[in-house]
Amino acid sequence: MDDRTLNQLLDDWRVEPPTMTLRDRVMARAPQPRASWSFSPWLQRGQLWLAGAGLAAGVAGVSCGAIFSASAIREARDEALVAAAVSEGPYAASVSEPVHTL
Amino acid sequence: MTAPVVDPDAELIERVARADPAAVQALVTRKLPRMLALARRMLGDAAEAEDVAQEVFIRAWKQARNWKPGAGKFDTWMHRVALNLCYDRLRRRREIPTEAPPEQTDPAPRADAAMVTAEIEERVHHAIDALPERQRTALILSHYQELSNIEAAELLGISVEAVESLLARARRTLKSTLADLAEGPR
Repeated sequence: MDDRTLNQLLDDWRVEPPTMTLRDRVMARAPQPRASWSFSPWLQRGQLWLAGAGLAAGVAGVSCGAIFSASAIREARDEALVAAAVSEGPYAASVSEPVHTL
Repeated sequence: MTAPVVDPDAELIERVARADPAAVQALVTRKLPRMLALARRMLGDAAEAEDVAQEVFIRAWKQARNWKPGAGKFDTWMHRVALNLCYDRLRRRREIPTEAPPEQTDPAPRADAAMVTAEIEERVHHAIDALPERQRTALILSHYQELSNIEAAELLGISVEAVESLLARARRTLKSTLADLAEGPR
């Protein structure tokens, strides 16, 4: 037998290619890309905090504003009522005219 | 001083070390069939060969991170790991002999031509299996894995001349064992 014939015979011994299951098993243990630290999630988290704080401050501001406004309106109204009562009441003249005393 | 070895896989391994998914995929496509074929021919058992091939890759993923380019070929390193794993299993088999041979033959009936091919394949397989371990390994590395005699010598830890001698003896034995196949129609 010559070398060429022997090589042909040797080539007749074929083996099966890898199955998909084996490929999957091998790939399952392969290195995975590492999750690198990124500024953006922190930024996003910070923004979220800022937004929350802003909202809280806004609500508090509106509430305070409303309370102060209501109190100012009430005060103005009371003053107006007193002024009206003084100018239109039975003692209006005595109040507005000089009192002559003996 | 020896010149640094040019490794055709160097760039790929560097990318694998960085966990580049495309490189990982490419390495599996390029090397898995080779490692599986080596283990299959060394062990003669499909399931065991798959386990060896998987183990080679588990080690390769770790090794890629520490691989120093220029020190050697990654392919040769993978062959060394695969061979060592095969030797371990062969040694274990000798220590704990099993009753049934590991090789499973397909019991399904075949068409005539396919049957002849399967018979030739079986004869070649058994003839190679019957060779002394060193001769068988040298033949598998040289003929089936297409490694150079220098690479085979490095893996076997012997001189190139010793590899040539092992190959010559293996081929002589096979020519004699398979002589009747050469005479029949192919």
